[in-house]
Amino acid sequence: MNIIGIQTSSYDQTPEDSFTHQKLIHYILLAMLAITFLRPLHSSEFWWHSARGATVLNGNICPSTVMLANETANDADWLAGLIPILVWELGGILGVSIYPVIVFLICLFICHYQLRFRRAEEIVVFGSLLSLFSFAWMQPIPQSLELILTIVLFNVLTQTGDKSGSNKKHLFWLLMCWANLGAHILVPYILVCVSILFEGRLWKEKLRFLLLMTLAISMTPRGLLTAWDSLHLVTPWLFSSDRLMLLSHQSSNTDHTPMLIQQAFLIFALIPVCMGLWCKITTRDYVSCLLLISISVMNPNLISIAVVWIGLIICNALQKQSKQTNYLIAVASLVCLIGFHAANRTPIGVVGLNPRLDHRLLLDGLPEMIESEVAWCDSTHAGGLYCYASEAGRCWDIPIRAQICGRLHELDLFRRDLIRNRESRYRRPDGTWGGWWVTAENRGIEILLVDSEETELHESLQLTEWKPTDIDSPIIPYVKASNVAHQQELIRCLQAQDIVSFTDWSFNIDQYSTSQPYIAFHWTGAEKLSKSAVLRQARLFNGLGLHVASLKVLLALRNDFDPAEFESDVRLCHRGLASREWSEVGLNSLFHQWIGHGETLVEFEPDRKGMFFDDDFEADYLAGNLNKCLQRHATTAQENFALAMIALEASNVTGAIQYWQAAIQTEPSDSSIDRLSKHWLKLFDVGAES
Amino acid sequence: MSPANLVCRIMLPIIIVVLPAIWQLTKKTNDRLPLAAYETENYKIESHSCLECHAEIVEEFQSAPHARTLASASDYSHWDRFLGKSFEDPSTKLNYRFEQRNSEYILKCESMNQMARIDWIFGSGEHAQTPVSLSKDSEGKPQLQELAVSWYPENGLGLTLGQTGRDIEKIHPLGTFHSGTTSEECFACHSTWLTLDEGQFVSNHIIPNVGCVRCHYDAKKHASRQSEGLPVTLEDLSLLNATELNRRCGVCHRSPDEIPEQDLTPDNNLLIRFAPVGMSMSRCFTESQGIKCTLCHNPHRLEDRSGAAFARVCHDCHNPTQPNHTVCLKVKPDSNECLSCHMPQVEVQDSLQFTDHWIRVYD
Repeated sequence: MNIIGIQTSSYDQTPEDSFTHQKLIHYILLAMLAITFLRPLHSSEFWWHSARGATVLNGNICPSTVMLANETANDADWLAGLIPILVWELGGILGVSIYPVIVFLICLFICHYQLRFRRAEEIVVFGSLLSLFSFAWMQPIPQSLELILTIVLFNVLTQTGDKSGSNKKHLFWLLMCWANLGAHILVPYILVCVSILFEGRLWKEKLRFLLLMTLAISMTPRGLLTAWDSLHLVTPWLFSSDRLMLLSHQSSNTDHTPMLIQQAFLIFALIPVCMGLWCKITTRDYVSCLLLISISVMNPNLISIAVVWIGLIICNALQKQSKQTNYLIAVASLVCLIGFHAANRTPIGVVGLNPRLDHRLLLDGLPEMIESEVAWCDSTHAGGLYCYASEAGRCWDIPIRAQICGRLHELDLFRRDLIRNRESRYRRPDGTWGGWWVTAENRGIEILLVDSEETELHESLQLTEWKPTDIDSPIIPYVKASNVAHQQELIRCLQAQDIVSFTDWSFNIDQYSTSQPYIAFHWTGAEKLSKSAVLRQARLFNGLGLHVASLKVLLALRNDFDPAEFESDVRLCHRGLASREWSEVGLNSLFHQWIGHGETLVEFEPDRKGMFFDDDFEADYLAGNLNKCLQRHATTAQENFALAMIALEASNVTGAIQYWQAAIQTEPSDSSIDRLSKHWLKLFDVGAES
Repeated sequence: MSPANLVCRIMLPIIIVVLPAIWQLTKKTNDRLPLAAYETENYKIESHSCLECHAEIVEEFQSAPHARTLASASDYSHWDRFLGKSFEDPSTKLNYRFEQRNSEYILKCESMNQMARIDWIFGSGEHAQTPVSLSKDSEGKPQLQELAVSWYPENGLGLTLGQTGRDIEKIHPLGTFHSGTTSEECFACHSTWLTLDEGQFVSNHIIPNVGCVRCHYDAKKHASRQSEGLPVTLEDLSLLNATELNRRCGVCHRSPDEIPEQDLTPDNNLLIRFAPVGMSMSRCFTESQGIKCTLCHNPHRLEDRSGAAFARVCHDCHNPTQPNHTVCLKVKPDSNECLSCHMPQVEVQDSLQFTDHWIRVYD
């Protein structure tokens, strides 16, 4: 009987019932945790590792040297690509979707049977930590194996006593496998070193042990340089002056850890520090936690592995705590987990690939493979997707390998030359030569692969000879306009650009959503995914100079979601249109300048008095109520011109032409609108007269 | 827990986590490495800095075209070539006029009632001088407008190169816009040093004209060491072979490796402006040890452009005493008219002529 006089379950239930009841709770908690791993995959390394795996399956033990023209170094982790390619080829989208759940269950299995985490609280805490911090590494990429091996390593290192001989053997094989399967071998090596240093052995023995472990990690095609390569990945800040630290701005070229996770990790890191200060964990564990925290603060990409190790130490310590304390900690973990996913709006319940990883669209726009041609890729994602999709395509280099082999600076310089449109040769301060033209010629670079999100690079490339061969793929291939071998692809792309800009083409979000590479069991998760994918498409159109097409996509977004979220993008499109008017025609319309909120580009600014360009009109337009805007009666040339642009955006080309013609006829003396209207009519091959 | 143990445990996170983090935070980051040598301090040296030791060359250089490649509107001394004069574009019928308003110089398109302020004048005047206007685009980035009307020594005002035959409804009447980075390239070849601020060049921090350091890369280091009394060396450009020199001049005057292979044809008139390109395609260049640009051109001074001066270079090889070389049969062996047939002046646009450096027998 409890303190308020109610009979407890122990009177009515048998021990077997209690056990079954407990098991049921365990399974429910397990299922809840497993569901949090049903999220769309987003790793930008997935396709790169899949391509490597495919190359290894074809009999090449150094896949990077096959796929990259600038690569001469062997891959230490040459087997890293096997898991992604096998999961993808055998399981397809379903296989990769449930892969994180499988990894999670494997981790728990090892914890349960090897580490004796038998209590629900330990499972809940560890599972919550994995769900919060480690999803990035639990996708079908080699890092998922590294997570599993981390738990195995923890198990081996926590075994003590007479098993030291077999432990040595186990560690040797473990590190050797790890070195061939994953690139972060330096992390377990450091953990092993810390463990050995704190053991009560003779220094000679410790040294021999360390040498043995060093030998283990050198048993790769890369040999002794395996550790050196891993150092580049684990501590990139040692080799670059760019800040990669926690909470600092990171390049969008890489898979950077979201800010929320970094902030949560900083809070989480206080736990092992406090435990260490209060002697709740051994000095060895304390030092290993601090080392992992330190390298994760400097390189947030390692947060996943750090959390796994620290989580295991915490759960190990929990075994000595009272049940009540453990319950409290478990409840707190669940609360944090739910709170985090709610705040982050994690798309739980959506399985498949993030639209960024959709390879199907790229197949349509991929330039024809020519053996002598090499592609330059803007990111690991772009290069990996190209190598996989084209099968035999080669890149000059790829950021992940460039980082490992110390070539990142060279890659960055070429990118900067492209962004700044530095085509002609110029001398750099170090005496080398810049200018992308000659560099591309010397390297045989005839294709550029740019992530669709890199709007700055897309905008810069519009001024160069590089032209896109696709307009809706996650990565956009570019070829030189003077390259006769790719004229057909360029023509097809130009035709597609004409369709989206100069016809009644409109963007349908529902149709777009059904064609995505994921299945949504929950609408809100899918909503966030599809919104971000569509917005990316709109921004890509804008970056490619297809401002009208961008506005059409934004119109669909404004009609389906809160228009306020897209106001800045709409204004950006209008600024682009105003800028184009100015540079191509030497004049500006009131409409584009007004909506775009740009600076006046002409000395003379038309007076809006008496026209319908008021706050209500602007509000209707920005809210996507184009039909309401079109119902306004135009009495001036400027108003007719505005209605023409709105009609074009609403995919009514006939209406737009009528408004332009009306604009010309309404005020023949307004030479600016006369010229602008004629300029647009010429684009549609229509005369000024109806 | 003993006090020593406690202190140790407190110090550990400080040593392992906090100190490295602070070190990383305070480490100087390369916010933006200068991309080009002409943005560095090594190029921030004007030609008169070399005057003390190389007075004759520096004084002679003032008359050279390289010393007059760029002038700000306020420093330009030949406004008589523009001011008060009008020009009509024959294809678009647009009328232009140059005026001065207070301290500003303006190009006005009278037909469209538009005007642009002139900020810089590009060109030495040996071939042409083109005014440009600097402004900002809709995103606040600098852009350069290459104005539609230039000055030519032969006929005065005329359309700027590349702006002929325009469609009036598809062009900006006052001239062509170039993005900030393209503008930077324009200034880069016509100046000694310029600086960028947040990726945008600062037009009032430019050392105009092509100074010594643009060819003599280590000039500033040379001058510094000289002033400190240290042993001085300067790169000896005479040791560069013909291809190396061709490429060095080609940094501004264009190199053949910057041209698409399919465009490297003798009938491509766009190549005529790019002397190193044509020269490197010539048999005189490819079938010998190469002809150095400096054989005919002395960049330090305004040179003698007479046919006789250039023909002397041709005769060094093409004379009866050299059995391996063809001697022209149409004229006397000692004729000075080599260039008129083999390197003629070609009119690339009305009033604008360049010597075609692709030495060949014309059909």
